[in-house]
Amino acid sequence: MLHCILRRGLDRITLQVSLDVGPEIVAIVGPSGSGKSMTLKSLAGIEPLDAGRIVLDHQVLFDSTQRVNLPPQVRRVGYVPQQAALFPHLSVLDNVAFPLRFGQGLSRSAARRQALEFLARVNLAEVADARPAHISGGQQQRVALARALATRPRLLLLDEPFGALDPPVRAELGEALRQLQAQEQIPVLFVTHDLQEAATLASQVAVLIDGALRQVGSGREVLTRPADRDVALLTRARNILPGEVRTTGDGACVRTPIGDIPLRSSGAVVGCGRAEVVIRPEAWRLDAPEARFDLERFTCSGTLLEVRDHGLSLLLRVVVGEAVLEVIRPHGADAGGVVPPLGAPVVLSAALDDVHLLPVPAVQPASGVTP
Amino acid sequence: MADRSPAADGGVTRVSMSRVRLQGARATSVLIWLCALLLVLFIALPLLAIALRVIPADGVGDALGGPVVHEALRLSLLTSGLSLLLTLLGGTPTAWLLARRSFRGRQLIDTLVDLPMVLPPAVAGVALLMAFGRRGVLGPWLDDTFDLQLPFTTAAVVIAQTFVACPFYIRAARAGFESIDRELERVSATLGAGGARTFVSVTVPLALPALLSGAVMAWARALGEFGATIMFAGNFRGRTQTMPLAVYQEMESGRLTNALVLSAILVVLSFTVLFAVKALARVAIGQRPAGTGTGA
Repeated sequence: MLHCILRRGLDRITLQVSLDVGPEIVAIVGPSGSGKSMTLKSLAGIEPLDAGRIVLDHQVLFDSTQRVNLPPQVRRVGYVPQQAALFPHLSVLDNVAFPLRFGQGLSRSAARRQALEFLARVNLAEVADARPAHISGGQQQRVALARALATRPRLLLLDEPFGALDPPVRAELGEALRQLQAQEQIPVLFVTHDLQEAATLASQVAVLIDGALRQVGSGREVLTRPADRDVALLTRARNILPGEVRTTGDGACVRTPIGDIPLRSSGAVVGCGRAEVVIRPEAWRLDAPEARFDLERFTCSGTLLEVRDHGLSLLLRVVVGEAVLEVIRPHGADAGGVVPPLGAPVVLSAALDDVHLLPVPAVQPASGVTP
Repeated sequence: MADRSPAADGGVTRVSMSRVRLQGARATSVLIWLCALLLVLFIALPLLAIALRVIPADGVGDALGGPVVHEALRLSLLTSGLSLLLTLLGGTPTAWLLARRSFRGRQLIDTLVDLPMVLPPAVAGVALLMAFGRRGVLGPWLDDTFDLQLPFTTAAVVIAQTFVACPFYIRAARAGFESIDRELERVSATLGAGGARTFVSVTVPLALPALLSGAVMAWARALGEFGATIMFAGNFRGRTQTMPLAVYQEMESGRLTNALVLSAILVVLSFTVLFAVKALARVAIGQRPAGTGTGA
């Protein structure tokens, strides 16, 4: 449905994105300034590109080699910016009627009639006559969504649509978005910096860091199998340990400061040499000292350094060898719900499936090519 | 008792101290009000004086119906209306460019466009003569090509007024355009509206309070134009004698009633216009959604 290759030099970074999106919801996540908004805006045609190609439903919207660059008003790409950007001088109804009147050339009355139907789809028909300033932030976002849908878009772009909203409203809007996408069957790209939200709403999560797409995959993949250290840090993977992969008689293992961890053959085999190991804080559990040895788990022992209550869960910091591991456990999940006193010896274990290897970026000058 | 008295003393001292401070504040406040009152009186008295002299004066009705007042009023409304039209036509694109485009020499143009506001009107008149006069830069060419002589015509009045008044509109319009959230115009494009449609349906309505108040200010300035007009267009009744020029001539010729009537009309018009502009600005501020500052 959507095929795009985008290139644009920005102040600090170069945006380079190559993405194919079917009739599905794709979330673009990444830190601020990584080029997320710019990606959406260049797809909508309201920011220029240096080079690239955008094809939507077999129609070329942009192609730098063929010198094609359709203006935004003929792209039929729905765009919902961060702050909804409703026209303050128009009523809610006239906001939604705007694309119908001026984009599709309907008469004033026909545009309003149809606009009311679009408003009804986001359950806001009752505020049709209100000014945008007089409705809530969540309602404004829904109006902006209805207005974008009124363009009969072939692609829907949402820039942090739920950014400034309360969590319950966010969840409600996310659900509304899912339903609309299911009805329209068009590609939907939305920008967020909430990975949890991305994983919940999107079938694919695209991680954009410093202008480059570092990983595209399901939310679970990105959270449990980050492609590199930056992605791991973005997903708050926390326990990133230096290691060295070596082969032994019955498979590969990685030597780390907390011990030798056997590698599952299903894991990313990066060959021998330096690597980094990630074991998410949620992957660990506290075992009783006399726990039975489990071939499927990696076990290590250490000393409890710190306990912090996060409300629903506990954050434990445990010294293992020279490393400090962070462990997040639900309240009362381990050892009969008793948290050991600080300084007490503890035994930690994690499933080998949850051990993830990161490639170590080769240290090289920016322009150099290593054979 | 013994250990309470110091506290009580302290309390008394504090109270009297704050009373002293309060009295000081009141004195300052009185002084401020007094100064302001004097200044307001200073401005209001001459205007009131016109009214005081006009109302009992004999022949006000005659003056109002007389040819001098009548023709000056007609000519002023005509020329200031035309100059407003020119200002809107030329000033709107200029203001838009200054607000939206960055180009080489923008600062220079920005300053140049503001210049007539601070220039002595007499200098503006001389400058216009040097440009469009018979021996000016463009004058001979206009004469040869179009058989057109601008100085001392009604057109010259319009030119002088436009020259002096358009900066007021351009400044306000520019600030109005700059205060608009650009995202709204971009969104309008994604909604299918082209550049011209976006300008008409989004940009202009959002900048409307600024555009209106700028237009009204420019019109008022054109209406009051004197120096540049008398230099460039002269003072011919029915052709170039606008109301301010008529006030001057009637005063010189000792026809006080005519001068007073014309002055009174100008005062009332100007006051109404300014009052309307301020009301407009208040409405505009009230309409803005919370969080969108006026950027100007």
